[in-house]
Amino acid sequence: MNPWHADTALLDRYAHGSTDLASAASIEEHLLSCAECRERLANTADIDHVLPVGLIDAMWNEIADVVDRPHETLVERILHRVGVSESAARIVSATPALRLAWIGAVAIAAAFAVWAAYGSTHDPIVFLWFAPVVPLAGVATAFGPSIDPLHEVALAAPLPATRILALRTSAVGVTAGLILIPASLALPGFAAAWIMPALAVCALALALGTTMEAARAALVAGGLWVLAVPSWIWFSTAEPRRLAAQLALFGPTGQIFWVALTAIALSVVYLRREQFDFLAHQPGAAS
Amino acid sequence: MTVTSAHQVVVRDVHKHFGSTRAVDGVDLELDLGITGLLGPNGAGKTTLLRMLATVLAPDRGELRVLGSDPATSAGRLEIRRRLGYLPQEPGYYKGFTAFAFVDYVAILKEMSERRARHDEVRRVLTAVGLSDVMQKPIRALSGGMRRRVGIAQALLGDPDLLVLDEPTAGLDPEQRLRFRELLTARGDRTTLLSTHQTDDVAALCQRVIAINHGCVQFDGAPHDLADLARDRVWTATERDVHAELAWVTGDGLVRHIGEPPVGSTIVPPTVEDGYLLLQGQPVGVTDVT
Repeated sequence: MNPWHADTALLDRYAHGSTDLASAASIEEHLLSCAECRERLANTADIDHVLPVGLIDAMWNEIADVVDRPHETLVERILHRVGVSESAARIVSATPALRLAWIGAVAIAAAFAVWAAYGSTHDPIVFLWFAPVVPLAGVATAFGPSIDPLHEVALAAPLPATRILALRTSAVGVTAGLILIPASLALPGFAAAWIMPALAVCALALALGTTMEAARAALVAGGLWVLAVPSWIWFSTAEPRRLAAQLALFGPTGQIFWVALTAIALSVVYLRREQFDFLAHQPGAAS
Repeated sequence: MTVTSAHQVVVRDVHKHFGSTRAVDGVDLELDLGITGLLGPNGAGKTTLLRMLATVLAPDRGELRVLGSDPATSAGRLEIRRRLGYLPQEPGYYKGFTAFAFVDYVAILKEMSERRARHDEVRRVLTAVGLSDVMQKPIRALSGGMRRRVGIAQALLGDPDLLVLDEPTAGLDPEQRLRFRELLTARGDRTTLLSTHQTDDVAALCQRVIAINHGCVQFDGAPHDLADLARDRVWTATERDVHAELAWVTGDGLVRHIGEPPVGSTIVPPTVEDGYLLLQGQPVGVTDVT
């Protein structure tokens, strides 16, 4: 039996939160062992005075929110760190296919970076040939029912489909670029020569993506590019043929062609952008 | 657009073909507030019609007006999508996501950018479908019925004015189905269109039923009107009557017949299923050919 009890005035001050920390701690220690004072406190205290209305609910909501908050993936955390909004980071990192493409693109880009920096035979055309294919992975895995299991749900949501496409495409493209650009600096005379063809191939894939699924469009555009370089070498009449092809595809005239192709393809994408808003050209639309 | 109407949804002579398949072949209908059930065998055009109303598929021909907006324009689609909840027939799932993360992701697509408010809404809809205990479980660990409910939950986000649900009760057990009915009824003055194979869902839930087959509307009316199609044409007997249009053995061992009853037969009150079967001309199981 506890011989000592808190006086009513003190309990009242405690209930209203106006005691100092030392007194509050002392009262709490006492309350733990004294049922009588706990009861007196309960009778004294009008809980609404002690805690503002709604505060307990707000606290519980806060706790529930921390518990329920979805776990951020590594990709999301990195994007967050570089200033991408939470929503955009989630959209970019959501589909497993996209994550795979990202990792794949980064791995290929990194391998090229190492090859360009330390390789013994620097034949730029090999790098220039493959580099544009890397960011294409972003287009291939950005959109469509076979890539994104939530494609149909996403289409019916107000967030524009083109925004999802742009976010995912650029996420892979920018990452690949960040690795490929420093690597390409090791190629004297052709440092940035792959960038325009890369943009052109991606733009072509997006343009084709208005008539077929993004993955297939990327495959067609990438295939055309991969065939274009050896074909040019094969059919080149000037000698040495590799150098002639290199100059033709990546020299000033070639660059003008890639700029023009990019502009045309992006115009097609702009004019046909509504196609991204429907299931129409997707397999499985009939039912 | 020439369609102007106070109806929530107006469909005027809408056609949608896939190659030589006429999925929707000249449908006309209006929807008002309340719950409408769309009945029809597989391949009847239900999913195509729902997809067009959910703005994810454009009709080849005809006019649509959904919640006062025209889905043929991008501004109209945006307007509709902001007030729409949609459950596709086969919604995919990101397998690594928890139920909460999945619905939260859809909420992001629905432009709910304020995180706390969004999470509160996610909790609300998951609780509404009875998944508050498992919302932190990975979707791949949930049963088929639970996944279906996760799908329903995402459609309920933001309490949409129009709810389009493609076979929402598939995979739900009777108790969950009952809960689903309560959920829809609690929506009050909103518009819900759901497709189903379950005539008992229609009977219990819908103020109105639309039956479609081969892309055309076969019946449009109240569920009891659909049942009335078979009034005085349903009878039971201990032996199968070869003259009946349809006959099947029921759980109590009696043979239930639809057709022209012979004199003296035991006429029974028709159900919505009887009316629907009569409309189809054959049992649902037989019409399910696709």
